[in-house]
Amino acid sequence: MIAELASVSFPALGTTALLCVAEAEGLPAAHGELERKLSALDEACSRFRDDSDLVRLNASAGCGPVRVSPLLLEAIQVALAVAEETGGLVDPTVGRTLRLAGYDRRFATVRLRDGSTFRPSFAPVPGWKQVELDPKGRTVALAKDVELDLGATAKALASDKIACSAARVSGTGVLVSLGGDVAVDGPVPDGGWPIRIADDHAADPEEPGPTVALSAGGLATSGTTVRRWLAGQVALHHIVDPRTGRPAETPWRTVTVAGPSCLEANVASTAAVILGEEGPAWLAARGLPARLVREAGAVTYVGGWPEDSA
Amino acid sequence: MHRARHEPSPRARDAGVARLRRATRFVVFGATALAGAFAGLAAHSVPGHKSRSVAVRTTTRTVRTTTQAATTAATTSDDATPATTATPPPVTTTVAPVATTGGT
Repeated sequence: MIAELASVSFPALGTTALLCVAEAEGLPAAHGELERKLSALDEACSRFRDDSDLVRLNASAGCGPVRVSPLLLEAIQVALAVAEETGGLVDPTVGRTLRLAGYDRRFATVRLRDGSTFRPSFAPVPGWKQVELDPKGRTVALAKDVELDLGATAKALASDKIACSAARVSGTGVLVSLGGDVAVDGPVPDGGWPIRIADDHAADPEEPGPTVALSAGGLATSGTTVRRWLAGQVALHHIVDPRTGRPAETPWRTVTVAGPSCLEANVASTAAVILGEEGPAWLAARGLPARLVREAGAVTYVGGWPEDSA
Repeated sequence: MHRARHEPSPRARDAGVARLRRATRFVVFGATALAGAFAGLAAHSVPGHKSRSVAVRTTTRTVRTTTQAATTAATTSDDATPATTATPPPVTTTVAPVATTGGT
């Protein structure tokens, strides 16, 4: 059928939310769904809202079980499953070391801070086994000094869920991007959803970059060049290697992965950044197509990812 | 001690990923109903935020209905890697992009 694409974008979760629908008449319903779910997600999972469920939970570390909202419970369940399945490569208990390293407020504010006088410190990552979760009682208990950061999973999980529900309520095909974590659902525009790949998801549309078409699942990019801040004489980034408690030392500037879901794509792209030179083999062994860009710009392709056109 | 816990064997990681896929699919799809109900509740209990929205595309396109990504049995890189399901790679297109993926 012939249809008219329509899209809307707005600031959310400290980044940009984008919704695109395959039929313009589905936009209001899908947009409403997106707004409602983002509001709920921010209230549950933000590390920077004094009134969020997650801030309240982190403040209770070492004090026993805390009852949490169903949404935070689900987000933590997923984060713990990811940590277990990646052998701790992508772990939600990086919150404390991220905070000590300087990522202790919304990133827009971190970026404005005079980093030359800031002195970062780092802490060992306690590991996901220091989190006790009781789904029936809807409680979570954090061991002393454990702070959760759900940045590696919550946005991607939300992209998947919102794309699914927005497609249902709008009756049309939907693309949802939360800071470049892209999920699609429902009927697909002919040729797929065209998605550009860049260092920064907010890059100017005129900037060069390959464009690929996605027909199902998700696409996500993890990178070390955007969420980056100055700490004294060094630049730090937000992807922590749980093995060291410090920003991952990696040859990759960005890693973009296509997966059966946005969550799986984002987990894999984050893991590949952390694994460094082992990343391509790790992705290939899992059948995940990927595009990895080195600091100097050289590109490695995995799993049949199409080479950039000249 | 922490270091040992975070450096699993490749076999453990690979077996883990198979479980991850099952777990995440279950959570993503199984929790949709719960999330919908919760979002509705949140909408009534939390003030919403105004979007600064801009409709940017009115392109006419053909839309086709598909099922989720076709999957095929994947080759594996070594004996320790369990059979997994390959994701079809995206294809290059010259169509103007509707979204950008990149660092956040």
